Amino acid sequence: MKDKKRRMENFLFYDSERIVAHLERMALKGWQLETITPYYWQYRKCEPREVRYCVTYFSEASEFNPGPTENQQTFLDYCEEAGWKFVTSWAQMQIFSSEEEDSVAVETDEQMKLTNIKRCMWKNFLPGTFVVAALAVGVIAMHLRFIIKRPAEELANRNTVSMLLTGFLLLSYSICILSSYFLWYHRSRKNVENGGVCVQGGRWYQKGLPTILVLMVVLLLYQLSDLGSFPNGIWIFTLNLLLVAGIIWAVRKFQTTLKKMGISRRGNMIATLVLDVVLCFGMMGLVMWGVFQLAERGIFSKKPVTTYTVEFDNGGSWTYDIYHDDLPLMIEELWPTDYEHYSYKWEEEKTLFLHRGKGTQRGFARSKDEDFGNLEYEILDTRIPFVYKLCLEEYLHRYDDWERDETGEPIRKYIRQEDLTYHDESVAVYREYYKEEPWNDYLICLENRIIYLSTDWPLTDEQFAIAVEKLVSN
Amino acid sequence: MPRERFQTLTEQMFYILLCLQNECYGMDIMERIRQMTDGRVQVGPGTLYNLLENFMKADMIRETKVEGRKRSYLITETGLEALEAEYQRMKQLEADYLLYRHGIQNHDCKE
Repeated sequence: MKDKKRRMENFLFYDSERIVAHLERMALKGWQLETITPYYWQYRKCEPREVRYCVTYFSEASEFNPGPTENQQTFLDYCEEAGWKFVTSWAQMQIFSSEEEDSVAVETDEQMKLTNIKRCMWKNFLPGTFVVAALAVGVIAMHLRFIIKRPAEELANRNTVSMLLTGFLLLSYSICILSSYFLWYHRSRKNVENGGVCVQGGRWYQKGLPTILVLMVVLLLYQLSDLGSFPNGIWIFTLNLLLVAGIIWAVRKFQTTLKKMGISRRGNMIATLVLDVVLCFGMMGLVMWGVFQLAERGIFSKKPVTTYTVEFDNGGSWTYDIYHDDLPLMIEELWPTDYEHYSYKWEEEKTLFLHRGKGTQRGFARSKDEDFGNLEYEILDTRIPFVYKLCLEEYLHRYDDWERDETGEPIRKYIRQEDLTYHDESVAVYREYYKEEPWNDYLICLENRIIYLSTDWPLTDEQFAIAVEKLVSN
Repeated sequence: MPRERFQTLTEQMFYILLCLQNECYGMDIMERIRQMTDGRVQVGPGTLYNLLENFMKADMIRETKVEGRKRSYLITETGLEALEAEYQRMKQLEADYLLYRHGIQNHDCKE
């Protein structure tokens, strides 16, 4: 039978009363706390018995100290003298146990206990949480800005949506911790002023944190669920996760090694911080470099990329990547062509809010005289009316600031087409105009779908009908 | 309202200062107070450590000896004044109690 047990515990740093109650219950079940790490609490098997625990805080203590400071050692001696055996520590938190029934409590002045907890909380726990909250606000603001600027692109971008949701979860987590602490402090202070004791931490926190963690896991799975849609995505994502885990492990290992080597607290903190920053930036650089390298080799493309070298009339040459993806609409379906070197590229992104597919068919001319035509379209699907409106507005007003006439009216704009031969009650069609002259960009709007279509040549009514039919039925 | 620092003393503060009229090792203070009060007043090690630190910062006690990790302390003039002020306050409490509870004028207490 295993004589050690590791558990992830969900306690607030300051909630000594709840921690004590938990440890005493564990001792009754035959498990004594051995050590606390940032990831888990470790228990050792023992005879089930009544053990008294005490959780107190020592502001000078730190995870970066090579050992107990002189003052801390004096404090530990006092506790030992009073019958309390040191068990383990977690930053400023000091845990003691006693099997003597009459040993006097470590803290016998509730006002002093409260002041001490407050001092320890403000040392690094609360500032750290405020920093996390500020970072979360920064992440949310940055991604909301992206979304407001380019909703059709960003709301379909899984990274943007994941970062936004992560930002909201982190912010909720920080708010949960901060409000829980301030509420606890307020209630404890009132209680102590009236001659009472520090109260237990709020129970809602204990449910709140697991809920946020579950949401994080759901988000992770959601992120993973799309990775199957492009080859090797799952491996890239797994590699990223392993790199993050590796960095956390390496930084922790480095910090504990410096601690064992007797490096001072300040030295350890600076060195660990430097290593952390270097590894994080190094990892970001490595991942970006790797992704670019792999993308260049077409590893994210569904069908292998080939290349085509164009020999220009002027003697120069250029090599292009040729994609062979399946497209819902191709030039060949609109115009007869015998050109053999088209690149057919299909990109697809899906989030909770939006599904966006982008098709591009390109030919590569050797001179200005050659024109094989290009075809480009985007298909946006959403069931959320707000997102639909946001995306349509973006498309309709995309060129508003491009150029305006003397009255301030945009001269490049989409105008609704009412007199098309192609007619369907459920479809609204807009065409782009530049200075009253029609261009070849269209917006085709259905109930839950927006299609952007762009061709190099003007479409006949018949070609337009074929294009709409193909793109609507996709 | 929170108590202003050392304007009034808690029982534990009072007995620590009373105890330190004679030089005493920090860790012996707990036992000495227990004996002085016959176990009625108990000072926990965490509270003792913090109070000694606060008394030192307020110049109410001073460190007299350091032997390894053992440190001994002695009350200062400021500490004695705080102790005396607390005693006078308690006497005033007693006088008020006697007067308003039992109608007894206690001249020893009224100064």
